Amino acid sequence: MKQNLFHALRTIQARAYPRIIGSFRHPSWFLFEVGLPLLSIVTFIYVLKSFDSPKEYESYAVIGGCMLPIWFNVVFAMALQLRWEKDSGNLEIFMTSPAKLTWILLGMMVGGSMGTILFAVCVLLIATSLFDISFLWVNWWKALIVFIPCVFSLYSIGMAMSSVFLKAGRKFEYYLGLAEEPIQFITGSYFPIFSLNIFLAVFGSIIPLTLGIDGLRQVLVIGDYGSPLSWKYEAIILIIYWLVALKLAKSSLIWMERLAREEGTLTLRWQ
Amino acid sequence: MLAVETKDLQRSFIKKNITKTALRNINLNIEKGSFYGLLGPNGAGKTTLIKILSTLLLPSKGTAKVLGYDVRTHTNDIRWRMSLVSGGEFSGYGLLTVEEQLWMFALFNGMNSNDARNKIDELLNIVGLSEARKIELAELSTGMRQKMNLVRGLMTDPEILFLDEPTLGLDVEIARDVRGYLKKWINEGNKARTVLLTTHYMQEADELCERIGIINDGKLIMEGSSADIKQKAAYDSKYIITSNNEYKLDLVSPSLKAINVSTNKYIIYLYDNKIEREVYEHLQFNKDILTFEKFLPTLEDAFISLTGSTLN
Repeated sequence: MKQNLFHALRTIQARAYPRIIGSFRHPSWFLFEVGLPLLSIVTFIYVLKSFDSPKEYESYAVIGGCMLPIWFNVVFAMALQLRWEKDSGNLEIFMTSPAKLTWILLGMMVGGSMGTILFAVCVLLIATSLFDISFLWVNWWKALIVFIPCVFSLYSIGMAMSSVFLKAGRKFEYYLGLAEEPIQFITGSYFPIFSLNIFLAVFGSIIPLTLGIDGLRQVLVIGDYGSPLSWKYEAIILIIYWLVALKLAKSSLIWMERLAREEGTLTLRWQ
Repeated sequence: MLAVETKDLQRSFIKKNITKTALRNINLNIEKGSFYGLLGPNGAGKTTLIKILSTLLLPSKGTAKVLGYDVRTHTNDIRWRMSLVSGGEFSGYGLLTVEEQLWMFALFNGMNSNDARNKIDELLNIVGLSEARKIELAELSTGMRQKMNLVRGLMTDPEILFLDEPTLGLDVEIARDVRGYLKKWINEGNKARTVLLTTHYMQEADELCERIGIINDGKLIMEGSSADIKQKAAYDSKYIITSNNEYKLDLVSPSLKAINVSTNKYIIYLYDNKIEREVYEHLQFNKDILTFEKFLPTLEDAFISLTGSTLN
């Protein structure tokens, strides 16, 4: 039991390492992970300024703009990761090691989330300084209560999706690319989705990002921010999402490994 | 005790409703502590067999045991004791350095961080890769990368090492280094180490393996030592002769076959070495013959004789 726990922790540490190192080893990270999200935020803020919108609208855009790259990281670096690992031959090595695939994916999740959180903080700090935007920093602990389960539930969804995408093949990468803008819309990344349409907001809440962004705006934005669902309930829903997604991820990995060994089509490069 | 034991092992793949049988009734026993080679052409089923033994694939029928553990039911018991290294492998992350990469895989295999770092130092020195330890994988040559893969396979000091075409695509010198180190490795250490090597390089199998299995079209068609297998070649010895253009070979015997490959070059196959002296005297004292050289059968000759096709 103790040996198993240490093995799991070492595996998580080892797999998180390339994610963290990969994020910061080459200076290009600043351009791609901070510069590009910042550019989207800047665009939205100038649009808002041109309409003389209230100042808090700019803070909506900043929060959404900081959270959106986390979603993209989940989809493109987490969910598609096993497919990439298969093509590079890593999946074979993972599967012949005594480490469980769940631990390896947890390592990806820990490494990936640490990297993207740091990027999000960089984007947040730069955007707030550039446009002189203030937040209710006194509520930092409330923000963490929403933010942590939101990030973990997103990454757990990524873990669950990774097995499905491995089976489904490359066509899903194309569909995910197509879904980028609709997801930006229904998650209310740059505007308060609950104030636009309640049904759309409920539909958008299938993705934990919607609730995470809404909850963060409730606790951090200065001024009136009307939402029909309190941030506390949103945090509870996000924790439920997280647990369900983790369970799904575990089941889908077991399913994927069984299928891989039976059919030989998933882990082996030459099949 | 047996390191590998298979009984009537079969594996089929279904692709687009077409069933392809990759392995047919393989019965294989490999003793612990031995260097065993599986020799066969591409597509013969070597990789499928090694993937089953390394727990990546399930058998369709029959049984397979590794170090006494069933590959269907005792996957983790096998994984703790084995390593798999494949040729042409481009695994790993391009932005990690060689030592970071090896450290990561060592931790997956249950090693602690300090032991892993010490072992990395030791093995990188042995394979002559210590100067590349800080180089990112994306910058490594194919040969260096394959040496690193070999180090990865040896990090945990496995009881059984599966090598799937480990020298594929390597230049001659590096392939020789790799073979040299493997020969040394199997005899070191306190516990019995077993290597199962698949290759289509007959010289590699000949040089390294105590026993060789010939696999073709999913069937194990022969097993034995290199000398046993060579005896299956269609001839006992062959001579390659160069002569002047006027020479016409006039050796006639039911125990030999002469082939005129070009105007001044012949190959003589002897099917019975009893007539060797007669042939040798004919060649030695004939003034039209410029050179002649004797060759003994190779594993490839035996393979051709057994299967009717070449290894490549």
